[in-house]
Amino acid sequence: MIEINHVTKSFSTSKKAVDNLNLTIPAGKIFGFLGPNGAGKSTTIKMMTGILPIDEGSITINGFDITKHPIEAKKIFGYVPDSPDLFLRLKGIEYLNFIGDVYDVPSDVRQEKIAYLTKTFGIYDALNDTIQTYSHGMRQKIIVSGVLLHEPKVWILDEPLTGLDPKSSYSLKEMMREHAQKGYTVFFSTHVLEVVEQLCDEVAIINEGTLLFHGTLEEMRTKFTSDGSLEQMFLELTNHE
Amino acid sequence: MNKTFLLSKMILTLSFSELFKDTRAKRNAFFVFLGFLPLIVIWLYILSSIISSSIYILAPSDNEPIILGILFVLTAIITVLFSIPSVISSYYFADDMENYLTMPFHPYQLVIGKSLAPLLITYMVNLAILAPTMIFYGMATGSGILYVCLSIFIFILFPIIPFIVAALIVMLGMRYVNIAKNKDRSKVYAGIFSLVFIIGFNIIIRLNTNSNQMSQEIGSWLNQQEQLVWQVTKLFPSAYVATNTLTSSTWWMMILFLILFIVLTALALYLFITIGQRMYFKGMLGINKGGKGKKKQHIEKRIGSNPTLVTLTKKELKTIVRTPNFFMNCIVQSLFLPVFFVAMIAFDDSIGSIASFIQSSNEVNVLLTTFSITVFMLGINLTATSSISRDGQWWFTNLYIPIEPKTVIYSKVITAWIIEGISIILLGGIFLYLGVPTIPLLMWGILVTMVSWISGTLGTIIDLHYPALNWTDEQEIFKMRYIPLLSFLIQIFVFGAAILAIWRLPYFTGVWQTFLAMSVVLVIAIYLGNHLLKKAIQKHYFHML
Repeated sequence: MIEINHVTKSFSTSKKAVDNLNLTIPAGKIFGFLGPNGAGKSTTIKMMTGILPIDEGSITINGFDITKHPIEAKKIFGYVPDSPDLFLRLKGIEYLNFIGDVYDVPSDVRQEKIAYLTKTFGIYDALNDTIQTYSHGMRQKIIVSGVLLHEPKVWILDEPLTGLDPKSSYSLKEMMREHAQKGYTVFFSTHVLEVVEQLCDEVAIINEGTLLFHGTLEEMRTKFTSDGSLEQMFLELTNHE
Repeated sequence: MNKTFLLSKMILTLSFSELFKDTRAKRNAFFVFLGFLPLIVIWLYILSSIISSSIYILAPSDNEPIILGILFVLTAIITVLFSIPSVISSYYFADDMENYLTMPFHPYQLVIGKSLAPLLITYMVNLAILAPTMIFYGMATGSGILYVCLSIFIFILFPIIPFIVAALIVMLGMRYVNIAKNKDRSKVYAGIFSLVFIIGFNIIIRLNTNSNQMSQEIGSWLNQQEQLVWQVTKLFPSAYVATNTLTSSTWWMMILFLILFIVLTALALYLFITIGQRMYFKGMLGINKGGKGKKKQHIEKRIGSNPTLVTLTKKELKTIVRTPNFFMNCIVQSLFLPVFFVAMIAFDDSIGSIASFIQSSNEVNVLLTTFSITVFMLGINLTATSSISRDGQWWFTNLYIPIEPKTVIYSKVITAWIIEGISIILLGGIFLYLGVPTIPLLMWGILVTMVSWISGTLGTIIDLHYPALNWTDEQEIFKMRYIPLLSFLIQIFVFGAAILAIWRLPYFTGVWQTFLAMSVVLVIAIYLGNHLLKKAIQKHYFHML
């Protein structure tokens, strides 16, 4: 479970990127985080993962405060950033070994999981190449494989499906469902509303740093025009003219 | 033309945006300048005395213009040599090129835009050599206002032709030799080539001249070689015309030569634009980064676990070795100075005299001398001062992984320490070859291993304070930053003061006493360095984005 309590973040004195955000992301659910560009989604995710310091408020991951107990909190979640262009000079296998060492994944578990994950995503044969030579989709797959390798209880995924081919996209969505069914947390941001409709148990919509809506899709439909599509509701909420 | 200007402005802004970003950076740049002031004063003093004494010797035979002639030739050669690596990097290997390739720019517009940053660096080099030479020459010969005006014109125009020569060599090379099939590998080849070229150039100069005569009686030497020097100057038309612009006997001849110089520069620019338009894309397009693994290896065999500190250090080392700019600046250049040192003494018949110096000196002096040389060489290593900046915009990956900040930072210090160890081993071999006795050599080894750790810690602390994370081209970490100079100056001043104190104080007469005293100083420095590093981690680690 992720708890975001009264979190505020500013980059300038005039405007708050995130303003007094309160959100509880329960375990056992797939949680979609929506908002237009510049709404504060990435800032929120960066604060959740310890990349950005929090100005006010607190964030806990399964009870561990990300500011007070960063190492314990970080061991619990796996994070897929919005750009997969990471560790480009390492070979795929070296990156996965690096992640295995960082998260203390035993060697025998590594052997099995690396083969399984990379074969599922179709990148097994490219593991001896440097990540720099990978396509965008392959880079995304190796980063996702790295996250899944250490079996984190909480998944925090920033636009995880961008660049994935249909088969890999389907596999990842299945994995997200299985993870939630096991009672763990899946939190992901996306722009693709169809994916939200397909996958999410709960959604939160943020705009200009403020939370506009939090609830299930059903609750959203009740609150807004009853037969409207998610796209219409999203546009209505974010003041699209 | 508007688009060319727009593009050039954008590229320049991006290239220099990190420089002098805030007032703190400006203040530090000022202090670095202050630190270098004594060196600048010494350089200007030497240059002025060489020029005035040469003029004194050459004036009776009206041969003094030869001074400007030879300096224009040297400046042209240095400009070409300096420009080749930066042109290759800017034209072909900068990561921002892909952004511009998709925009509707002509190749010549891109070439002009990408030339400005390396050309500005060329002007810096010319500011150190050409400007003071022209000023001292003018003062010594009592030249008037026309000389001053023409000198300004020549200073502005002179670097353009040698720069264009470098750019044309690079463009033609990339077009026909096609060395760039693998971008990473050719970057390393280009870098090593330019270093070998500089060493080779030095060796040839040393083989063909008597260095004592060169430095002591440069004027007489020029007088004797008058014909040869003028011949050489004529091989560089711009040097020949520039010399005549400033030294002709009548004002109208000077103006005529200036017009000729402007025409030459305009022709060179025309050639540059024309060839750039035709050649640039042919060499540029289709360059690939990285390399695919040669053969499939058993993945299972490559899976294994390591402690976190080891895995982080291995990651750092692999990244440095596989990134050409990191490899060249952190590893090859740290090897360059020892190799250059060997080349200098090997081709200068100095081995005998150095060996006899070592045998005749007492062990304290040998220890202090070898120690000082090593401090200087470690001071210029760029691994530590780029520890944080090398991560660039990917610094955030260190923030979400569950590793203590100090583990991440110490992996970077260890990396710098290992790389500096290569220089130490190489230098140790040289000292052994020169006949440094075993005991001082072992003492030297222990002391410089500690110095290397301090150097790594200091560089990392400074980079933590002033990281350059928003670079678009890896070169930006190493060029146009004052951080390495700051680290170098601190090390030179601190260790210099310690060496001077130990050398002059009467208590340290024996080699063991000297060794112990220096060990105590270094252990204290290591303790202080680690304390400061931990403070810097607390203050900056999570606040750099």
